[in-house]
Amino acid sequence: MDPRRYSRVIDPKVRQVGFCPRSGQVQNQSGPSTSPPVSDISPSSNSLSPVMIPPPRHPSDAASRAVNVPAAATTPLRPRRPSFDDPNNNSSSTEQLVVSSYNPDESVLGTSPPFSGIGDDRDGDAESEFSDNSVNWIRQNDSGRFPLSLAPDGRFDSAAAKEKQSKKPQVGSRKERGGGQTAEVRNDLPSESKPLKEKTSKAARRALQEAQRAVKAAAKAAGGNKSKAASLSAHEQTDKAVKLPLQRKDDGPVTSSAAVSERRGGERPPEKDRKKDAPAPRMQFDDKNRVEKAKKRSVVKQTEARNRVELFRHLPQYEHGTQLPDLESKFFQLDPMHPSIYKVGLQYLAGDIRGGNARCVAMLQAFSEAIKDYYTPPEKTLTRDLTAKVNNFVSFLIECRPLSISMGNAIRFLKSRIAKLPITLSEAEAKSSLCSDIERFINEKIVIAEKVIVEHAVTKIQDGDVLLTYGSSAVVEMVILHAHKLGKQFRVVIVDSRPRFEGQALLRKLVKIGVSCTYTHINAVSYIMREVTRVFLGAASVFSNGTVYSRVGTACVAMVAHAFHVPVLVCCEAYKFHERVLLDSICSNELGDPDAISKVPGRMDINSLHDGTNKENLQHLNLMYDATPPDYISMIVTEYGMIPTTSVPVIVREYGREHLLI
Amino acid sequence: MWYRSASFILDQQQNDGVAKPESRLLSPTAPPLSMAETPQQIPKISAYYQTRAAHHGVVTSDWLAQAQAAVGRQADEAVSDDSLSLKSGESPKAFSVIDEFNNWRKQPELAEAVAAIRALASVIRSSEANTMMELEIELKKASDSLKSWDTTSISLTAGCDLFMRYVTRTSALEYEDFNSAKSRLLERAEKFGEISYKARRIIAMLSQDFIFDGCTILVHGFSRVVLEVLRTAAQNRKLFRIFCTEGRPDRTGLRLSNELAKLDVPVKLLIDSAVAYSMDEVDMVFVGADGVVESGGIINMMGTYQIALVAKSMSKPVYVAAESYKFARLYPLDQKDMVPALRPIDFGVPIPSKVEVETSARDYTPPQYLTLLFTDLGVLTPSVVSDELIQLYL
Repeated sequence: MDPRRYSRVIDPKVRQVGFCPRSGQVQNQSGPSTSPPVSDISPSSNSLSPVMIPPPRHPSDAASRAVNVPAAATTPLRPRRPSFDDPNNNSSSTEQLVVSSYNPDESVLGTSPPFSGIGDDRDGDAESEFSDNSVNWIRQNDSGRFPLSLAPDGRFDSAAAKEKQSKKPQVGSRKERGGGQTAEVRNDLPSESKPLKEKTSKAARRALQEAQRAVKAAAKAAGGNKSKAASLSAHEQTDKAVKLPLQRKDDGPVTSSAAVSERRGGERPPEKDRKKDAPAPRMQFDDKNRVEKAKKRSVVKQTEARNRVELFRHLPQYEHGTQLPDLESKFFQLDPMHPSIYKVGLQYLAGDIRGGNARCVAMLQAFSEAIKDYYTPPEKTLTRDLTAKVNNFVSFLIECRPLSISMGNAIRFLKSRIAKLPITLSEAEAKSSLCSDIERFINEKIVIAEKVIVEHAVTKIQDGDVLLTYGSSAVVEMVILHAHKLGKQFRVVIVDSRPRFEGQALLRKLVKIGVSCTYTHINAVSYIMREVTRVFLGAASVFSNGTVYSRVGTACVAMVAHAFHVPVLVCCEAYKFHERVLLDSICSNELGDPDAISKVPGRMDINSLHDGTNKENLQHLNLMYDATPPDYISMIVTEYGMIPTTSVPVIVREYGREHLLI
Repeated sequence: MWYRSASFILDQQQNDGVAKPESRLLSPTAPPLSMAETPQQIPKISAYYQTRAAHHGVVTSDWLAQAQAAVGRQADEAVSDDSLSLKSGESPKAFSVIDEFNNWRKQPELAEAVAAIRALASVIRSSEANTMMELEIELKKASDSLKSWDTTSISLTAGCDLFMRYVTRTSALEYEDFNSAKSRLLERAEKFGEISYKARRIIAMLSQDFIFDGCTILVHGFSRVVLEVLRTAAQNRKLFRIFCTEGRPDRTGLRLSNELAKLDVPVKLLIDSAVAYSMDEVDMVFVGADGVVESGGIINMMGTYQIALVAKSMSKPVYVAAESYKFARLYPLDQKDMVPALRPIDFGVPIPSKVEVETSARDYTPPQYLTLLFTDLGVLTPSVVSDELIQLYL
């Protein structure tokens, strides 16, 4: 409503540029058009789907050719290119100019001297293969842009085209020639570079040079190492180097459409940048070298479980209960670790502190203690040294138990506070400011947030409702207690699962205050769901695509509820939101004690699988978390209100920064 | 669903011995009445629909009697409300928001929310407050009394809330002296009223790209925005035809078809139950909205949900035209999770007293059945609504 958003009214018109009536035809043509020049060399390219990123072809010989490439001699060989043209191209070459000037996408292809330069230096088939590669590449992006546009249905195209006609006469005239023509234009795209090449701009020439330089470097790299694998990587490098100037090229005067920028985002950045940009990768525990290295550093000596499920080898799994006595004995020897941190770590290890919020609060309080007892060593600055210390603490805690997302966010907050401390503060002031920051984080992001969530969630409980909850979530428990306190009449179904039976604690509390409860196991969820009117779930984290990451079994409950058309409400504090995207529960998860699922507590005699634990062909999988797809979730209740799953990125965007600033 | 299950019946039997909290729920009596209505349950009419009926002039005899009775009550209530505020108010003020609001509301082209916004703007104008805080409190009180005047109208509540946000948002106001701050406030209020007033035009412009020659549009309910959209399309010499549902019980469709016939647009009237029958001829569905909720779904006249369902199953696009002052921070989970707006239904024959009548006037259409929303903020997908709301309210 304020001026900023008022101006956005024009947005839809801008988006209209994306309406391109040629989508279907291009798609249809892509197969046959590329095949003739390629078929004799690489039949595999024919089968490439337009959606796939083309893999580097002929790794060994293409690379060895690249090695032989002389750096110069680009232009003289150019005139060869028309030989690849079909006879009918020449007639349409004039319009192609118009097209390429209109559509930046096509101009990218049409004026790609770096590509053709390299291709020409090799023999003819290599070139055709390479340029064909580029055709595929661009085309793939081109088709990818159509979902981007706002087209409500196929028919809309005509309206959009009309719009364009009024705006841009050239385009309109081109359009009238009909589908066959436009498709043809696409076919000959590689040949387009010929008429354009004569007037290569300064930028283009520079890009060319750079490409050559990159090729040289690659050649050098490949020359040093003759093994096949190396040459493959070299090829990849040249591939990338070639793409880089290409990118730079279209940064030029041509106004880049949304599609182009989209494409650029999707393209792989050069190796160096990638390393810089990407967050530090999580430890992959199937990588033996790194595991060994990490072990040397670690304080906690964990023995790894021997028999792990193949799909989850990248997650740490330890023999449970072996390291506790050892650590306890070391309690007084551990110099670098603050006792409060040590204590919290041990509690994590032993499983005394569970639940996202509890773990996070305990960790923050331990940090607060540690900061209080901290003194900056001489000749060091507080900011640097304390950050290093905190890193130490964190790596110790990770060794005890992998961090939850909420803890990660809290640590990020603390670190940013430390980094932003003004230098003018004295040590005591800095420490007290940090402690009060931590205090405030706990208060605002957890305690008060929970209260606000309860206020919101209670409005969704009406008299006569039957609520279902899974496991034991602190927030959901508060919601139920509060609703009961308000005198609402409702029943609760508590669904629980082995091996932890966390729901029993909740059941005990609810029964004690007189809430009518039903307790059942997850096996019966499809039966009990028909009488349920609301499902309340807790969450360990919510990801940007709306995926809820929670105690294992939650996804199952949510799915059943969805199937029964029962609304699913997820209660989650906003500090647990994460900007990452999670698609499955394999990539990031935690493994629990594998023995726990085969044992029945208190009944040592029921242990039929016990002697099988060390067998080769039996593996236990005790997953801790799972990912619930956003489709199954009706709403997420946060302290910012009740939001749909699609608004998680909005919260992350709007409050992610403030989150660090409070 | 749930009350049929075995375990519930068992619980029921146990409970019967002790107390009967749930048995009351089992017999589905009328849902709890909203604030605006008096305890007497007979008329059961939402003020929102009274207003609409008054504007549209489609009134049955039975309905008129009830509406008049209700309006009488309403007036009484407004007076009592006013006298109450007089008692509690610190200074005796001759000015009443409700009167002002009713004045504005008399213009049929003016939406309820815009009338409320104008009324609130005049509150600022006539205020005798001396400090910013006082003024804000006064404004708050006025908007509260407006909101409680008709709790069933979503756009009224949302419009008031948005106005409050828009007017009092910046802290820059605090640093100026009171008079200039007040004039600044007034300026903004006027501007906001202006924007809201123009919203319909903007929407009409935006939606033109979606109406193409030769298309068939299904319209449900009488929405002034949709009418504006269609009128603009007709003026732009687009060739299209309209299917218009009858819109029982207040026959909104008849009125809309009247208007469209005046524009020389070919119209076909359907009875409400013929929607699925004629859906395969339809190219797009156009509806207005009483309110747009956080999930991106809409609350609209009864029947919208089923039309959207049919359209979805035949994969026809459903477009919603709604001004941004209808965006409300509500999140209904299902049809019953709303403040019900009730409306009498004239069946033409006497209904036996044992027979219950569903008098709810509107339903909730979840976002997955909507294709796009045309608002004055732009053409939005349903998921953007929440984005906008978060930015507006937080």
